[in-house]
Amino acid sequence: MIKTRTISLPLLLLACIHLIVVCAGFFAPYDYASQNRTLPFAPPARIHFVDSRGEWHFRPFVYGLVDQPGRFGYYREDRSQVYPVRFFVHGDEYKLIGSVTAHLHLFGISEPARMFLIGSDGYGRDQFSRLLFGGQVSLFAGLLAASLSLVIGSGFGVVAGFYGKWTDEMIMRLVELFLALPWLYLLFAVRAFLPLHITPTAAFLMLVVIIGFVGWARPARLVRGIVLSAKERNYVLAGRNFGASDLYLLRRHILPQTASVVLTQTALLIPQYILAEVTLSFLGLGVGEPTPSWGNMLASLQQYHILVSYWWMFIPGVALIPIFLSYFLLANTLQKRLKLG
Amino acid sequence: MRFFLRRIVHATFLLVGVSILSFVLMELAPGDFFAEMRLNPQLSAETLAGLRQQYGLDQPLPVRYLHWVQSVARGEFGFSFAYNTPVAPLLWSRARNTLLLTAPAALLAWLIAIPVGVQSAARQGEWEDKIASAGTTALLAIPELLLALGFLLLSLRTGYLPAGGMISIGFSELSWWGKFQDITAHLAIPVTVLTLGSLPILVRHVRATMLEVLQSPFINAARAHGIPRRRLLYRHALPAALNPLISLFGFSIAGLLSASLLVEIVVSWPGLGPLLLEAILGRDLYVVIGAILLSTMFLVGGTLISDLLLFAADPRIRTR
Amino acid sequence: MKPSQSFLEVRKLNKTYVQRRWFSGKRFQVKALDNVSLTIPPGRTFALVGESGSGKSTLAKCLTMLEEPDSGEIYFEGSDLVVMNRQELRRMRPQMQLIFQDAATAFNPRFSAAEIIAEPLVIQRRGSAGERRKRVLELMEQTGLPVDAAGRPASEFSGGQRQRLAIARALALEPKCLVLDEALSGLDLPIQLQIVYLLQELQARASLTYLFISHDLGLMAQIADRVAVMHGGKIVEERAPADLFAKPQHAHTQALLAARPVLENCSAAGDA
Repeated sequence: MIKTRTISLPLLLLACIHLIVVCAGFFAPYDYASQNRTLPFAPPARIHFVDSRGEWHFRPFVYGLVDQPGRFGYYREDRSQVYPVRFFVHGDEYKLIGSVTAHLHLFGISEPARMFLIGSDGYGRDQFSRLLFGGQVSLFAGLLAASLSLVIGSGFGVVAGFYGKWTDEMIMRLVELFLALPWLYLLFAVRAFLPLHITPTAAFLMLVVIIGFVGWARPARLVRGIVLSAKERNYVLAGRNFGASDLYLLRRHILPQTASVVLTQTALLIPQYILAEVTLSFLGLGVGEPTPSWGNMLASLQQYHILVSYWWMFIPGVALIPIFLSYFLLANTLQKRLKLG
Repeated sequence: MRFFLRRIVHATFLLVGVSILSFVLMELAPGDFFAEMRLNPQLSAETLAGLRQQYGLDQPLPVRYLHWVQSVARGEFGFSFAYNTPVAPLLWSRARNTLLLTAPAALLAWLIAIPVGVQSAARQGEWEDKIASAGTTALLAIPELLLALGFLLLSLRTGYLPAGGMISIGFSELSWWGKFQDITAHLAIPVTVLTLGSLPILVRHVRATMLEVLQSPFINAARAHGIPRRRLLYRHALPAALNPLISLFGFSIAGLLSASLLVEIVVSWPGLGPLLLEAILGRDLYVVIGAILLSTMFLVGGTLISDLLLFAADPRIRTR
Repeated sequence: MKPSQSFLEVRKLNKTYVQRRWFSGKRFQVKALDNVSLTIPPGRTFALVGESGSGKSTLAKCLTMLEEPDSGEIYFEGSDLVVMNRQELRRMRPQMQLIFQDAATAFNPRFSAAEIIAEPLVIQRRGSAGERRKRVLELMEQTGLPVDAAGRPASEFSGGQRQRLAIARALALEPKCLVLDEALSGLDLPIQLQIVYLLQELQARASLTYLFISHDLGLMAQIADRVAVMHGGKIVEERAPADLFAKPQHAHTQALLAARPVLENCSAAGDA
């Protein structure tokens, strides 16, 4: 009856990505803030199996980078020394949960060379590590904000749909207002009224709350629609006829109907919210340095010379695409599946 | 007629409400325009206090609000600290630029979306539909931010189109035709990005609406009468689909404004976007409030226009 | 106003539906019930006939207090339902149950047959889970439903079986009166017959009172003890079916009678 297989692919992909991002400390070779001023804007590392003498190495390895004299930002590989990639190495400290720290990283290479899987930024920070840590901020900001929106929106939707008349009118006017206002203007407006310089954690929370609050209107309208029509169903009337209380009717008959819509909406909302976080951080209104967010990692691209010369700085933006696609696919299959249910 | 009067009254209340809310919120936020200047060792505390007093920032909230309302009545909409001019002319000139950007984008987007959506619906399930569907999904997954940066990169590499800004150096010396060409060249990238960004949603909605309409009995009857396909689509089905589409138009204006905010900043187009960002970062209070009010006015205007269009297009509404 | 002694009595019931349009400011009114008065004797079958829009469904909803009338009284065994509060209503509700026309929408599609029948017991908190299960099976037997289908969702039942399910559910709380709102329309003729048989059987066993609401005058004439005709929110005629057929007084009744398709060679089941 239910094609669980079609759901699992995008869901699996998303689950993997989120898992990796949560364990960013382990999967990332370096700390997100550790700089290396001698290697700004290093290109993505080239992984070799065959060295300069033509020998095959079982372990992939990397050469150290040396900058060319006289030309800023151009590097060449120093073939004199081979740095094999080792797994389960001891590296920079990172936090596991709370204050528990660990040192184990999935892979790494010995000092003093650095392996920048997707290059480094202006301060010589490993973009790959920053991508993973930044994912924590961007992806989860989207997730949490979407949950917030849905909770608020559903709450309003249920109240509006169930109690009708004036409550419904008022709430719907509010919904229309929020839906019609340009969302970025709204985000800007709310952001404008908050302190500018705040710690990254506070910034994260603030982003989640703002984005979540601004977007409650669409789920509210949808939930309200469902509740309105469900309320008039004959089996609800029959339930009333048996003396059922409002709470019982909501719990047993009406709310389960909203589940499918709420789930699909979540899958559609999350990409938008991730984008909202990325946009705000890109513009400097979100999470600030040194905490990475895919938004503020893209911010340097506003300078033309970086835009033109260092293509790997695009990667945080490009990473959004498969994630969005997965969420869309998920929403699609959820819609189809739950319609039959 | 009564309907429109009602709407205008609603709109006025809305604007007043939004302005009061903005003022109150701004009050709660720490820091004002001169807070940043505190870091400058050359400016003493007294100078700052004097500046504050000069601009009336030390007055209590209701007083400031009153002054602001008076300023609105005078047509100034407050004063910009950063630009040292009244807010209104600043906003209007920037808004004009934004409109210059969003109007062609909206037009282009709809011009493309309608035929694509209609054809998709008409050939549901066939390869045209599948391609369009894949295309829109792909486009939807690409953030506009990325598109804008990507196009900028392209223009910088190839030198075909100017990368950012609205006019070139030496603009004033150009002829009318030259000026037109110059602005169009500068418009190319942002308009393309905005159009591509709005297309997916528009196409999907057009397609969905058309699909619904094509299922209706009257279309079947028309088909049975032997009306040729194209005529059927555009003369019979599309007008029936206009109602929800016009409502969509009203909403899409808001979306376009949001998108243009970001795109303007990225390509340095001198519209409302960069102005608003600057004002927020610099705590230029009255500019922020003015811009918010302007966007609210845009939204009200947009829905009013779409209601007008609905009125004109749908005879059912007229005869009520 | 003398309190009512009869089983179910309706006095001067009024209900108007108002639709407001925001822009034109006009109010669009429908007077669904216009000073409706009725007396329904216990243990018998009463039929309310009328075309669509005559107000019969509104009356059904008001009787079971699913909608509130604007004015008037509804006396059930001497107490006025209209003035009762929630608690009192909750106690009265089990006595009068409503069966809908569209059996498909009468049940939550996700519930199984057993859950559907047990729901009134759950809501009224009667009996333990085991006792409820027993009662469900009892009811299914009484209404002729296959007992092994108890776990299946309602969507898997046929039209006739769904009506049996509806009846089983309605009987769960041992009501004294059943209001059947177009419960037989939309069923095939042979199925209608079966359901009518079932209802008559149940009525005999538990001395139930039935209020049928229908647009099918012919069918009602065959199963009802008294028939009332509704038109435009008013009751225009109320007699025994034989009288109605023989001497219809109101123009509307005559029109209804004339519109019946007559099946010449078909003998009706039950008494005339």
